[in-house]
Amino acid sequence: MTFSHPAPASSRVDLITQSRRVLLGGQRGKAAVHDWIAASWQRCLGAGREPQQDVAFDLVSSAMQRRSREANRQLAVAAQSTLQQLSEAIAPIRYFAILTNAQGVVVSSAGQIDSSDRRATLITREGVDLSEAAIGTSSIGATLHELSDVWLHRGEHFFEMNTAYSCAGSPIFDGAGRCAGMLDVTGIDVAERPELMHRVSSAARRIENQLVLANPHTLVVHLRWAGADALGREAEGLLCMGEDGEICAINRTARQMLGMPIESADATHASDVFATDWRRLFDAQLGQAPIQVPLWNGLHVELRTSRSGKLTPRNSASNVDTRVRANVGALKAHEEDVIRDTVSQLKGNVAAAAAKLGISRATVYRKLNAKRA
Amino acid sequence: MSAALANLAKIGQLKAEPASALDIGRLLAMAHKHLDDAKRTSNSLEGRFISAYSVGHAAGLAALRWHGYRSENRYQVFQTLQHTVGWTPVQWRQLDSAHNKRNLAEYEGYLEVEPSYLAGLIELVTLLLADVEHLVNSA
Repeated sequence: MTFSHPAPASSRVDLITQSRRVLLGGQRGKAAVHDWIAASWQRCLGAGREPQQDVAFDLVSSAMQRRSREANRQLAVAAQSTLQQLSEAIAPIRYFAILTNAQGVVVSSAGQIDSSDRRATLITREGVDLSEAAIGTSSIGATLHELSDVWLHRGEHFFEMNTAYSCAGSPIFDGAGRCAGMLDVTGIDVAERPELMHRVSSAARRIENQLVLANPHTLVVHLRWAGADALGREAEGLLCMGEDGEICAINRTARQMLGMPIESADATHASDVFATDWRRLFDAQLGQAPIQVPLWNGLHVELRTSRSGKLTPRNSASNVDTRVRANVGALKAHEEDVIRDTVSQLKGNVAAAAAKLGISRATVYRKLNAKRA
Repeated sequence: MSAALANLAKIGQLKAEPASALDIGRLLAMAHKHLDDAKRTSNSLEGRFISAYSVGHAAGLAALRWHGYRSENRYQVFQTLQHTVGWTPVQWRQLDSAHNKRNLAEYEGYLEVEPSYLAGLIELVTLLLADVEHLVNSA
């Protein structure tokens, strides 16, 4: 979904007002709102709502709040630091941030929320239902319906009592490709800032990466196209793998790069997406050069891996200097020698060697098979 | 099925080579000999395992050759089975597992084979050989 450069403020508001007259008031003329906004208005009308009605901003029941607090805990934890950073960045322009679950119920909020302004306090309470069914067209409902980044300004909200808000929204997907919630930034009686859509999208990608990394894993793989410039972390493809090559979690960018469906219920293996021995991915160790890996579509990706999710930067300012990189290579060779010697001492008993070394049998096999076809 | 193989050939991961009925016939004949050896109970478990593994490789290579490609990479011969004979990942990854065991035997002299595992592998490669022969004969 794209957002073209807006018309001057006064004409923007006029165009929105005219659109409301045409689509909500039944007058003749041309509407000038995005199709997805018009569709949302139609859904609200179809549900028997009228723009002049009051909006209650109800809290969900206590029982449901308890259940959703537990269900939303992973999302809240993953979003915590990003939410804080975002709210600090947008405070000077009088916007604040809201995080909801996939049903549009507020999980948390952050920023300079004016406690004397009911329009702010009503929509930032934990547990308040901001879905389209509850409060009509808004960035929350639109984002969760379209599963895409959105921007809404003033009269583009369905209910008249919501027309003071300007909001940007971005969906948040978990490591299995399911919508986990959405991130919103809202201002009240403020200037239109459609550029916030990109800001929010970027923050949502960071939260998604935290959700991916929260899955139990052995290896974290960072992807970019071969030959492409270095990207910021939130723009990289990211996937987590288990010991035996199964993909535990994957972010949206990696799905797009690897041509995977948005949501795949079945577990996927690294050999399904990379046209190479998946064990090579375990060889692309921290601090060493990235490896190029072919995909089934004939393209190559470059990937780097880490065990803890913390990746040392590649550039010359990195604190992993040449001497440490050489030590990492020597350490790896020594590690393989130790494993081979142990297996040999135990007369080839891999299980016993694994137990003695405190590692899994799969790891022993993998280390012994490194670089062999 | 062959689009992925063509993609890999374009980037040098596979070598394009016209299919040769003679080569394919020899590979399948070799696969049958290995299968006979694998089934022969008078052979050692280890020897039978290596024979069963060799059925998989020979049959897999025959399928790749039928499509007009060659690979020196044994893992790739197995991984491309999903594109040469339409095998599922569950099926061909069992051959990858056997490939791992074979490598340990080949390079470290270590091999641990249970009779039940061997029986399963023989069943798997017998199925593969039948699928490849069906592919070749359906042309």
